[in-house]
Amino acid sequence: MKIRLSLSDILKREIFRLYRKSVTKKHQLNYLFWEATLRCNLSCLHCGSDCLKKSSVPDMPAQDFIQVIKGIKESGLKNLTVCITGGEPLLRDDLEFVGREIRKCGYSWGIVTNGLLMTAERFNSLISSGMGSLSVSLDGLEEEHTYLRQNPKSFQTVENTIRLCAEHKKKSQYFVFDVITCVHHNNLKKLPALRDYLIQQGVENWRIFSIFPSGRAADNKNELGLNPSEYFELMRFIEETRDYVSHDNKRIHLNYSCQGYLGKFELKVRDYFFFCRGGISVGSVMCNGDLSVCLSVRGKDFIQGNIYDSDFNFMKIWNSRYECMRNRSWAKIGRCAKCRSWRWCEGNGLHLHKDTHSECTHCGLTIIS
Amino acid sequence: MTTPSFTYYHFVMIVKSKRWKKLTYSILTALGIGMLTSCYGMPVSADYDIRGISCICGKVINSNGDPISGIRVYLDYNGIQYETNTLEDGSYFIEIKIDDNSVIREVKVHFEDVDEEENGRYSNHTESIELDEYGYCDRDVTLDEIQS
Repeated sequence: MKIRLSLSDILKREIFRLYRKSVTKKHQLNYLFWEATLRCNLSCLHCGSDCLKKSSVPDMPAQDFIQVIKGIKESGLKNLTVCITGGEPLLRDDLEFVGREIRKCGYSWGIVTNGLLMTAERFNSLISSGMGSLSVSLDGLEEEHTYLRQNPKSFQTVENTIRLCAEHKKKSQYFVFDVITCVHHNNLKKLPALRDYLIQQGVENWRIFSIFPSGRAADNKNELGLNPSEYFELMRFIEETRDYVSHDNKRIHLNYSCQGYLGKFELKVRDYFFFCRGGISVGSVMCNGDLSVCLSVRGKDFIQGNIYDSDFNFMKIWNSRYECMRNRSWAKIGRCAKCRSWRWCEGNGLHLHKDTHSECTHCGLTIIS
Repeated sequence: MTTPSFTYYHFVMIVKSKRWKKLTYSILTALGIGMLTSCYGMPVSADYDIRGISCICGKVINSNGDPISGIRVYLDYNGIQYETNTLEDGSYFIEIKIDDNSVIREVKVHFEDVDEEENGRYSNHTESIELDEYGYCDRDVTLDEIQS
């Protein structure tokens, strides 16, 4: 792709590239996903994991995951954030136990939830077990959110979760939370109203994802995917919102997700340049014990081991494997091979590749160009 | 008169200071470097380091079990006073961050009715609270009502 950039834009990208090379070489784990369950109490149209109320994969016993964390601690790793996700993690009643064990190792933790099971009691219980951050999914105002989430109670429960978080944020300077919104063409036009609603609710941080074809979202891609002009409109909305001040002088900090390199929109829709950290500083333990990167990356080529293997040692695998994540040259095929922005992109996010032999399924740069 | 010298201790104190952290964060942000969010995970605060954070939380209630709002909750630790007021549901939450990354194991917490007649009048109370090995304590406290 050919994008006109100023000299300072190129310089910033090159400085960032040096930083990225150094982080890749260092290969230090600092963020670990735990897929606590594949069960979910919703069946969203856009679910990337294709989660259902019942799952053929049983929940991983808490002790199995705690052993992984203890092994990491024994290796001497000082800083780690554990993200407990699913499925819907609140379906498990032992998160507090796991959370306390994570804290005992000196690591921080948080959850990503749909909020449906969140109550004041559960929230306080999680907080007093050391939960330091939370993300809740809200895909629009009531009508649009309910359409995607397929549950009439879902909007009210998210609202309740946001209220609990906003109240707690007033008391705790270390607690951080944000709202995640998946944008599709039915909620795109309503984003300004959603922005004002979130500001009113006391939300300070907001993250937007566009829907990519994976899991159930792949079945509904024609209905949910954004066309090029809508994608461009979304970028403009994010850019505008980052400077937006509401009528009562409040702001909201909005970032676009890590879905790929965005050319001239880099640093305009995100605080940071695109950098897929999967396998570089981000790892995951999937519900069946597989080790991968972020949980949207589910291709067999990206599975690096399993916690139930006989000689399992997480840090040994982390340090000796994950080569295809650290060296992305395999992704330089098809349109990426001809792209002049390859050096700053390196094939988009790993979740946009089915395996290490296929081209990425989505390129934001192509769309906005 | 001796001239104070700039020692390693001063250097460490500067690097640990919030202002320095903010400056570093601003420079990194300007260069597009930073990791506050990750994939479909929850965010991580830029200056969030759980080591050394102690937390005391709970509810203040009356003898009927009803929550009391507007109660001043405070404690002194190492010469610094930390305080908060209970919310409508009677909840309070105090966090203390200690630079050497240790956690507090025991502290005296004071509960004081500062809004006089509003919500009733309650006698002041001091509670000695033990925190767990992670520096956490969830404690509900009952205040006695003062009969007028």
